[in-house]
Amino acid sequence: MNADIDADRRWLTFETEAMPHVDRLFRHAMWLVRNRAEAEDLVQETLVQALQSFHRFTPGTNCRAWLVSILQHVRLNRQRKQGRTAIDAAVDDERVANIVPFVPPIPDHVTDEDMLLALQQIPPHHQEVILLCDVEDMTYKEIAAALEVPIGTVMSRLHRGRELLRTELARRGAGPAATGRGSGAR
Amino acid sequence: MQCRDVRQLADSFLSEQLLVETNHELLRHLETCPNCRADMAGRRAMRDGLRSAFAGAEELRPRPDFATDLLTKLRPSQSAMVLPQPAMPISRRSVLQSWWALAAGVALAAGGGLFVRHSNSRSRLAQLARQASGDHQNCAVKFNLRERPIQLEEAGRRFGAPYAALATFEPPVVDGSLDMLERHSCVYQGRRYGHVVFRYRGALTSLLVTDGTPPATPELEPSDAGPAVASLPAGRFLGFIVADLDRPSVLRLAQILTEPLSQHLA
Repeated sequence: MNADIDADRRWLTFETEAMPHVDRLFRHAMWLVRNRAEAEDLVQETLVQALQSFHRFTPGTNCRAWLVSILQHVRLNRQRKQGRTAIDAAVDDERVANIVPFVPPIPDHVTDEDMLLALQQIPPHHQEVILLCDVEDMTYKEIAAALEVPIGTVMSRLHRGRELLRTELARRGAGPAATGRGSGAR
Repeated sequence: MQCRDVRQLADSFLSEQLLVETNHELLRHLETCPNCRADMAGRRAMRDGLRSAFAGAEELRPRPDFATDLLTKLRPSQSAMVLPQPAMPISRRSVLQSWWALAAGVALAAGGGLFVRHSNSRSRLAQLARQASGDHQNCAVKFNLRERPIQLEEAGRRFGAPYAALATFEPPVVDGSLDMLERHSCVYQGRRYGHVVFRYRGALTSLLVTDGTPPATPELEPSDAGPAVASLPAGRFLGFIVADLDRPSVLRLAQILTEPLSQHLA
């Protein structure tokens, strides 16, 4: 009977804390995998794992960040099973280091469509960090744990990723690009 | 601090990852440097643009019944974990006895089920009331939310018509003055609210509307030391009144607002 009550209480807390994030989780998953069925499956597995380990969640902390971390782990494990490894990320980082010689100013007027198209053009490992930081509001520490990389890597990917995003937005000619911003460094 | 340092720290500054002292140094530089200020504003705009683009993208939106389907799939697996093993009857007499026991059990379960269901929905409502109280304190009182609030019209387009309808809701004349201060849609602990802030009898008061099962009638919710909270039906949505007032006043306000609010949001 006590077990019933505990399970019931756990479920209610889970429903209140975790379920409101389903929409955001799905959006994140959908962006990563670009396939509705796969995204739904990813979110479902994430929530099943979250429910199983809900006793580890501290109420009052950032539940969305916790769920996104689990989602990232689930996806990482699936990628590993499919034979995709971190070497891809290293190649991306090296490639990026060679192609950002100059960072253009941020365009004034950017539509939602421009923004998402520009984001799509940058390497996935940079997209991922930008999304986790800027959209999901996760701290560097949380991102590092979710992606299983050092904090320094998170910071450099974020820095590079934002530069790439600016470059891509300017390249797409989103709004009047040349505002002179960023050119007056003392 | 020089411009070059500011540009290097800009990302960490925006992500609120800098030490307080470094933050202050950077802010001091921004006060005197229009170029860095413009650069920082651009970076902030890019981040906000990305958030808004991501939240509004139709192609990333889940199908409408996805969350409900997930709930259905997840809930039984949870109950299956705690189901007791059935007992095995061993004789005719014990079979007869067990029929009586079964009949009594069914009767008890019917009553108990109603009780459990009621107590579950009460407990859930109490949890949601605590969250609503948190939103009132962090949004209306301290301006301390992680996500910037958006216009109710925009929330209506993205998350459902009742949010947009709240933008035009005019509370009826109530006993005591009611001064409208602010209307927006905000997120607290992952839950979205339509939020109307007004001053009632001199106290900052929140009317919060969120997606959830409404109670049948306005009710006071448990609130330990914080502001008084009453839940109320808001059409097919769930509403809360939160204010640093005495509990009877908050309940009275909820009772006054229930009918016009439900009609307006229907």
